[in-house]
Amino acid sequence: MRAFISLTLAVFRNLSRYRSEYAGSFLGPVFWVIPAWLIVRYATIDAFGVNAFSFTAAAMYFFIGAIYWNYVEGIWSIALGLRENMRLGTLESLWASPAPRLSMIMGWSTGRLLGTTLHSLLAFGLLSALSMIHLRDLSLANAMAVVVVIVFSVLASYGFGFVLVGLTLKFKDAESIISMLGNAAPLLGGILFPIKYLPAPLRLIAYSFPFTYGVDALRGTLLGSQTILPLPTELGLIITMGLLFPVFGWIFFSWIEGKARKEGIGAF
Amino acid sequence: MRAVFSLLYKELSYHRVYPLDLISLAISPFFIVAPFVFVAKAQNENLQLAVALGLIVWYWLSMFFWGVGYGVRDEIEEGIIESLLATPASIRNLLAAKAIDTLLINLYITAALMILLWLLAGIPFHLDWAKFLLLFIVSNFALASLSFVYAAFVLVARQASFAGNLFQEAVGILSGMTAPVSILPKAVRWLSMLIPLTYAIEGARKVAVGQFPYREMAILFVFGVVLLLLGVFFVQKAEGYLRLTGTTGEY
Repeated sequence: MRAFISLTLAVFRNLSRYRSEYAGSFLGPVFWVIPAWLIVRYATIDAFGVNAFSFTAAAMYFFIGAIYWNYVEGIWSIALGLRENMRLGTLESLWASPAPRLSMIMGWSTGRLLGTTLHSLLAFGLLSALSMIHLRDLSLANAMAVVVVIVFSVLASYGFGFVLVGLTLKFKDAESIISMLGNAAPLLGGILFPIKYLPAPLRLIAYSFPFTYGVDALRGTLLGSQTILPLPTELGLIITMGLLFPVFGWIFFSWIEGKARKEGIGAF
Repeated sequence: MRAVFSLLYKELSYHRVYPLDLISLAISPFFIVAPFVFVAKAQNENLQLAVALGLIVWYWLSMFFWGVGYGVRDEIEEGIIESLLATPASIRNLLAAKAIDTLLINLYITAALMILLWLLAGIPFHLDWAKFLLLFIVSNFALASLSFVYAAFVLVARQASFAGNLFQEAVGILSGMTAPVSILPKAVRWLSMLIPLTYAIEGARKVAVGQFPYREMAILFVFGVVLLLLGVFFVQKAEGYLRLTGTTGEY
């Protein structure tokens, strides 16, 4: 627990030390939403299956995708934090300490998740002030569904995060792999558009990409858009993913870490 | 000139040592560009080519910003800027080498992007390639010059990724990256006219409809010359500031 608190505080200290770097990240979702929204504005044709489609609904459609992806990516980026420690030469000392690995990873990610929440709220405020988005009246059942989707998606994302941390220990230029995966996910997950518009081979990958259903369920709940699978099925799938992925991810990470301890992690 | 080629050799060697980066450079831009292209596809298939070209050209700017402007921080973080400053080579030589490397990468990325967008999004790039190549060269010259100005800012400000991100993204929106400048509010449209990327994107879209973008290329060339002079001046000043204050190791 002490390691978890220390590393969470370290993340915040880093954020306060490099405030201007962090300040920029709150504009991330804004820069997903506006360029996509301008296309809609230019074309003005309904293609997103949202009831009473309007420019506001389109912006909300993109905003939900961007925020959802921000959370998923926020956890994946723990691997980049590990890489940074490798680059700075502090990983070996950290790894040699008695701190549990899980506490370390959770410490790195908690700070990022809180940061993501803060800049998501700021982005929401900015886009609302521009009258680009607004939140519909939310029933208790829908609010619960939103919480379930976010919590279990975050858990599932940890599973991916553990795998990426393992890959970072294994490959000297893991940044490229992480960057490729990170960049591919918004396309395959339909962060900005319905995945039915993808070509068949990519659509197949998109259907097997778990976070596709997370963002789809979130939009189904908040915007009433048509979902790929029935909403209860999607919720069940997300809960299952959230329970299984962290376990499998941790097993993979532990295996790679055991190998790294024997073979070394300095080659990068 | 020898210093520029030696530094360029160093930049190119990096790609040999990290081959996965080259694969990532071929594939990652597609993943960044494609979501917007599919938004266009969902709206109106005729928009796809215009959106794709706008994003490809914006990607050139992005590469110069991070490869040249912010790229100068690589040497600072790796702790080799001091050794470089101790040689007769200057930071301008380093930036020139990075600019040539980025130009080659942009060519590589553009080819990879067009192939992937053709294969996976079905966009037919029926362009006059000679015109497009000319536009590519002039645009890259203007954007590289702009990145020199940003490099000077990075050297002095040190924490400049926020400004870089903000500028790159805002410039993308203002220059008509995904939709023509004409749909932007009138109040900000004058800003678009001050950005070289606007003319590069307009030029690319003109090539797509079979026109020769004389006007855009002339404006880009003027932008390139002015920004290069400004960039070289500011970098020289920033280098002097670094030497005087001894802040090369701070970031």
